Amino acid sequence: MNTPSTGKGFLAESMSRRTVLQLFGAGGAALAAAGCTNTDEPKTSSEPTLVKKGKFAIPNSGAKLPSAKVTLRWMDSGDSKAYFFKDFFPAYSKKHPNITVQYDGSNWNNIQQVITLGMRNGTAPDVFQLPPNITVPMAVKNGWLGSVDDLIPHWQRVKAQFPAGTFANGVTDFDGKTYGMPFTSNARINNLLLFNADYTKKAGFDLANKVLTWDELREVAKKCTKQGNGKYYGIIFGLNQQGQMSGPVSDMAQMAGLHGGSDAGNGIDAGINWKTGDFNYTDDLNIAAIELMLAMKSDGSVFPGSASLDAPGARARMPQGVAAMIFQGPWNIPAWRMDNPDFNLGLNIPPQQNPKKIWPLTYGPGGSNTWYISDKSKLGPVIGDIFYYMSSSDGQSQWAEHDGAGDPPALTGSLKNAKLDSLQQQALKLGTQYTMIRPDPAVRNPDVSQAYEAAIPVTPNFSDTLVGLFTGQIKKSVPKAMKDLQDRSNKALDAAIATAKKRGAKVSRSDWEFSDWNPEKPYTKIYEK
Amino acid sequence: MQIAWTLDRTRRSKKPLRTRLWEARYCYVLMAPGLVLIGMFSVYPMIASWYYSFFDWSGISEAKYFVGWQNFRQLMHDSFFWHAFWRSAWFMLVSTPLELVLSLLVAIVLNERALKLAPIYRTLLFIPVVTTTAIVSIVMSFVFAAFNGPVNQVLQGVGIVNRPVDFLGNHHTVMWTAIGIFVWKWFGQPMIYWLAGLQTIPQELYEAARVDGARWWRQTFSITAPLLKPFAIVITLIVAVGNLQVFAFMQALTNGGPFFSSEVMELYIYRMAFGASGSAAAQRLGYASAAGVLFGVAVMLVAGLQALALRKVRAERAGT
Repeated sequence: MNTPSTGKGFLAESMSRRTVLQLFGAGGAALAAAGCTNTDEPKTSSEPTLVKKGKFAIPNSGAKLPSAKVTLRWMDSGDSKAYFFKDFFPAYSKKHPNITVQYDGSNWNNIQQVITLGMRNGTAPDVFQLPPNITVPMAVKNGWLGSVDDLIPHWQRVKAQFPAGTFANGVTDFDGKTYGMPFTSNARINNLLLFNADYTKKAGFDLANKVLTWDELREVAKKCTKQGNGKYYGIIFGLNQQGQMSGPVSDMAQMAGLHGGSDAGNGIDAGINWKTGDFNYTDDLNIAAIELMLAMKSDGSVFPGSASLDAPGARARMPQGVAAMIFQGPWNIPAWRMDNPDFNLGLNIPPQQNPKKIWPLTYGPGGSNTWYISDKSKLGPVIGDIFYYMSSSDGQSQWAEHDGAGDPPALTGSLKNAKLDSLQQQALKLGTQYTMIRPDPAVRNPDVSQAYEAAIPVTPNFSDTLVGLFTGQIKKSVPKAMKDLQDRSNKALDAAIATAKKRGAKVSRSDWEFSDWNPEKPYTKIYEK
Repeated sequence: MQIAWTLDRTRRSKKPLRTRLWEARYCYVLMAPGLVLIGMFSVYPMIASWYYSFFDWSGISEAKYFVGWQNFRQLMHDSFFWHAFWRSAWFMLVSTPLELVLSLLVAIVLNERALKLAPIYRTLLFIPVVTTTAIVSIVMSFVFAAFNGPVNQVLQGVGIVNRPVDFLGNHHTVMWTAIGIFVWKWFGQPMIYWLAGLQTIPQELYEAARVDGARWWRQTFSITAPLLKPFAIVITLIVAVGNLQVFAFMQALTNGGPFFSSEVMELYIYRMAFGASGSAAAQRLGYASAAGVLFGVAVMLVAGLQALALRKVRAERAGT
């Protein structure tokens, strides 16, 4: 038996204490240094100081704020972020009565329309998140984004407090200037095993204290389905949305030793082993993880209708008691707690092929949420002032207090100042314990982004293929389907490289190869200044 | 007076074009706002899509690369394009006759003078037409849900099926289910058109037929059908073209799934133009424009054939 809290995972085996301290203590150390500067930002200390939710200690940053009445427009994808902003912006306006913030927490479809058109015609909000259809290099190249360097007071000091990999050339930084502010961390597990503790306990399993093996996952799903007798099922998916099966498969395979996973990202290189530069689809671990999912379907353990549900549809049904388990991220915890207080939720890391040897999940540079400034904005000092607060210890602690485990703050040291329930604490702990920054080809060679822009995505991709296998529309065996995907992915990446080269980029397949990458250690050398 | 004179073909043809245009200036002034709007929102996008179809362009970046016919050549070998193309055609070919026949039958019944509650039924049957398409799709996804969906509960309750049917999650049933819901939602519209057509038929013809001993079927085939023929062609054209334009309905109901099995042409174009997999490279406006151009040509062919049919019927009527 193995539990994440026992420390028998990769962290204890292969990650030095020094590295851990470097990673997660960097924020605290830098903040301590920040205490010596001439601002009225609250001082930090080694002892945690719990912040009171909604009591924002907004400092006088030194930014030259306007005296006339102004309205700042801010657009992002809302969700749990809105918990913070809906509390913070009124407090900010209270401190600066002439400044109003028009906050629009919207959905991604809307963001895609508003930002895409707004950037081209100069009407984009002052601050926004970039929709996934626009790459940062593309936006910078077209002059749509403003840099933050001259806006945020004491910028160099502020920037230095963030952990390595938060800012990276080719990701947030271009030609020595910073265009994106990642206030939240990527160090979270996006496919936790979330479960209905009443059902699993009744079936005889203590999932909170035991990391399941792959075989046990199938067994739990089968037993819960039998126990539900048509009223509930073992596991639910929202397969009418990208990544809902491919994400868990990739994470399970990666934690079993498939370095780089098989669906770690959106781009044309999702599913690459960063050490070799080869795609991972045909790897035995990947195939075994897929076959496990298909076996659960054959057992009748999967919620009927999973193929037509999207992710919000599936997660909305989970607290209604229709399934015992779901693979989802920690962002569900606050929402479920609020809307379904009686739902007995539990969580753990995804099931393991070998719980005695758990490999880390890897994530790319930047953050889970990054905000950008419109090049046309005339409210730079206001934005700088707000960004300055959001980078501060109090700002990050308030963020943690409002958003919890769903969107952990970039300065992970701030988490100790927030009062979070035990489940969120557990999710955060697992996130920091089992995730690690990986190499990124576009950071080492910014020309790689031109290959991304020239890429024609493979269709069906990994996520589509799994749905096709699940519904029986792909008749091939799993290994044959993966071989086909591997061949198409190689061809598409090679074609993208060839097109980028034709357009003047200096890029080759070797850009995806990091022979010095050790998947058990954070790959920070290309992110260090 | 002026307008009536202008419409007189015999006299008009004898005057030079410039004079005729000047004399009809009020007509053109009145048409101008509509023409401007059509130009802005129909003609310009159409021409722009032809232009963009020759470029490799994401639709966002300033960088555009001229690729000639490459997008069209790629489309010819894109199985997803052809599947979506034929799926749209199939959707139209199945749903159009269903919608037309059902709406005609209901219209004939509602046109009966003996039916006192006809206005109420007409309103009830028309309500789905004015209900927001996305709302209908979302509600229907619950109605046809595999787990606790009312349709499955009824089917299981009466013993037709043992296990719930995943109507929208099974590639064998998803298109049929979508067509059924679509026909239910929209058949009220042609029903109104049919009713308008039916009400132009003089009642005296039916009375005379009844005096001659003609029964309901004979009246329908010998009076109603021939007199409705010109209406039928126009209604068929409107319904058929409308049934090719099902984006909002399918997007909200199935999003093209599972595994592209309900991806009709508009969803395919949307996926190509704006990306579905969340990566920048997935956005290919040039390629999507080429797909749109090919599909547009196909729709125009359908409309053209129907216009020819309409002209033929008119000629026949003029001859008689």
